[in-house]
Amino acid sequence: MFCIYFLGNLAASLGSTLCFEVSECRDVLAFLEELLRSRGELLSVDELLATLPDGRPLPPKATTCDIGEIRVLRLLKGG
Amino acid sequence: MWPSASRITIYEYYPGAPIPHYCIQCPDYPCVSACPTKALSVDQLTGAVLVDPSLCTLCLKCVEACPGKVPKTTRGKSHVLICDLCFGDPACVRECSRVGYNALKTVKKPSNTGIKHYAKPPELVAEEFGRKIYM
Amino acid sequence: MQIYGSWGKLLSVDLSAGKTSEERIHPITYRMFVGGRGLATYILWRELGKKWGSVDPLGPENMLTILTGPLTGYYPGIKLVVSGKSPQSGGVVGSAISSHVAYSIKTAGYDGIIVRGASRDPVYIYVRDDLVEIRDASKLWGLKGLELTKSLRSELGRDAPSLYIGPAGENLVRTAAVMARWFHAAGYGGYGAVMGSKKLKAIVVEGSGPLPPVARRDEFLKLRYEVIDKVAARSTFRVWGTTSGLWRVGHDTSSEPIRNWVEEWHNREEFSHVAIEKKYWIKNPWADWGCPLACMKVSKAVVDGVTYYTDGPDYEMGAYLGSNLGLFEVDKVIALSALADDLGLCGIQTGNTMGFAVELYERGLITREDVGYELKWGDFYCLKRLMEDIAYRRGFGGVLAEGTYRAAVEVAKRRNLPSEEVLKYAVQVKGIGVGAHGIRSRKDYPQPIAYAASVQGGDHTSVAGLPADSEESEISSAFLDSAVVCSFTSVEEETVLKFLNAVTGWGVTKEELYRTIGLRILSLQRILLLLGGPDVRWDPRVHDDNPLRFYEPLPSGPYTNSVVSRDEVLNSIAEYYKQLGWDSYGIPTEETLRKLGLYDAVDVVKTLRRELGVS
Repeated sequence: MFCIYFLGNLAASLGSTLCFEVSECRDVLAFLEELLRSRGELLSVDELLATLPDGRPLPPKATTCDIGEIRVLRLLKGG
Repeated sequence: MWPSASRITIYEYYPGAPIPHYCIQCPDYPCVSACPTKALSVDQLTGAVLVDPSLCTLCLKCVEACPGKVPKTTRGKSHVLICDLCFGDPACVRECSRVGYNALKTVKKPSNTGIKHYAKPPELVAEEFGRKIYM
Repeated sequence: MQIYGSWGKLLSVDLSAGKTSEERIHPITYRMFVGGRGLATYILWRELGKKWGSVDPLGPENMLTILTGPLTGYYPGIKLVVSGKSPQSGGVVGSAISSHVAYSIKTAGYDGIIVRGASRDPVYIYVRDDLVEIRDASKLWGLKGLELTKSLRSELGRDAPSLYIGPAGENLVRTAAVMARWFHAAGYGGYGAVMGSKKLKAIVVEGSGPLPPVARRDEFLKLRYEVIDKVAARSTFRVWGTTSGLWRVGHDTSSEPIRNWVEEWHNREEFSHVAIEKKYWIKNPWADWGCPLACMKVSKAVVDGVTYYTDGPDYEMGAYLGSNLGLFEVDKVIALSALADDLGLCGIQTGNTMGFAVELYERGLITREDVGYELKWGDFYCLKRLMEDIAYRRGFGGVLAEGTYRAAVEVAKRRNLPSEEVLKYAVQVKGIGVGAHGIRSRKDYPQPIAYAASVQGGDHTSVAGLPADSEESEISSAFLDSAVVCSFTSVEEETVLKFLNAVTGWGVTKEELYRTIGLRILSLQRILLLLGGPDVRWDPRVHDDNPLRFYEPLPSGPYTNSVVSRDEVLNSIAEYYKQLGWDSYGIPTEETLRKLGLYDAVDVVKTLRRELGVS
């Protein structure tokens, strides 16, 4: 099981928690990007911040097998 | 960190036309010959001008002799600052490559004397830039 | 007490007395307020808090603060924060600007510059390490940005980092910005007018020493490269800068102001970063000192034989001086953006006021008789003329030079209308025009309460949001503006905090940031905003709200009919205030103030409650 907790407007659009059965190990950010595309969210991962649930940075090249849950929010406020 | 002690200085007289300014190692090294206290010498391996802090008196004869007015002074340093190529591995090149700008790279020193053409004060370089792009 | 990351010392300039001195800031004050926006709020509170309501932002009693933070120069990206009592909101706005002055202040041996009083004649402040001079600027007064930069260079004999104002600031235009490096603006707050009121044309700072020492050097260096690598990998920003917003916000998320926010969606491919790059960019990437991101691009356009240069146009300029004015011809948007830079106008605030004016004209609330010429959407010539009239306060430009809120009140007065009848077209919150990120589609970053509950009103770089103890909260922006970290080079808060602790030797935790430090800064800003004055006073029951336009359903685009409801907004604001430890009016409770160590605010807040009739 791999869960994503969204914050802010992302939660309003996508729900605050989404969980998935993952059969293969996928790169976390690639998984996230694909999910956003499939839900019609045209955001690039550059604009997002994905962290561990407690706010610590994701380990480099983290996969959906290494970690069970992430927290996702909009990073760049401005522009 | 000490920005003004950096041996490379970036000037920008026109928006978007940065001018990196540093020692280009003239084949005839006028600064070295102009130094009355023999504080300047040439590194045999890199061709860079080395400054002996104990001999430099900050008389600034080297600046006068330099066609690019390159040697710098800054508060807290009792000698002139000239790019010594960080003994072959310049920190500025490292940083510039690390962030992916790749605007600076180390090259083998050309053997011809044409490189002296590049030793110019920044305002002259800016003027050329200005004529080409901004006028 | 040893201090790291800062010198513990500000340069203080009294322009009335023509004197300069040094001012100590205690290490504990830094620990409590960090620097930048936080320190500015503290200093303003300490010095002007007791008489805040009567302080005229454009009078000599106001202060102009130019502050760095402990991370300035260390953390990649180079910003400082301009502040004072805002001539727009009457509160404190932390107005961040990317400028080489930020590191040169620190290498000159100071953490910031505080300007008090006002000069009789035009002056500029020149700092070279220990040498501080108040110099005659009579020959510089009146100059626009490009000319001023050249004149300063020939006067000094070299390039030197500077902050300056254009004619707009000199003419006390409330939408005037403090400018740097041709195209950079500290726009929110209107501090260009504060500089103008002090007859201060520029602040030039050359520092030649090192940055102050850091507490844990090895950890700092490691973190610095960690951040550099993360930020350098933001390829969308590197390649396109914020200009990509003209398509991504204007088309994809449908949250860009179009014709004074009547719409928030467009489908014009010629008005996109891809089209702009091809035709107009002459330099990409372009960056300020030590920045690994390089979101800036220099563009060039020729209109009627005149050549214009500007940055981008970056998203905000493109949106506010383009689509918001119904102008989609990129060369002309570049021209307006360049003109705003040169005149020293905040493109966001001025574009907001101009769009408002065109809508009033269209509705017949102002006429040719008022303005002197016709105002039309997308008509470059009338828009250019209007912008110049604002900067020089010519004719009706003098009314608009007061900013959208005050102009609305004035127009209503002239038309014998209740002010609500004109204010309903003013897309502003508490005197500050809303940045170019709408809330109606909910696909962009600002939450429905982003502006209504912000201590900086319509400022899109300081937005409120739930949960109050997460990066969505305004505390997060207050922290970045205090540290001072650019929001585009920021990374996970955990890492930024580690960075701060490595530089300062502090042990600030996320818990402390949200429950104490950040909340302390935000609470003081909120109190000062509600104290307001002298010409504006905000009532939480009325003004903690969105502009009426945001309650109209979107008329076009993929999110047609999308809307936010006022009930939802008011409920969310109540929840947000509760989480912050503020009462239902957004006034920090006595318990919260005591917990934050703000004992001297307790009585002030009691008076405030009484005055608002909510005690």
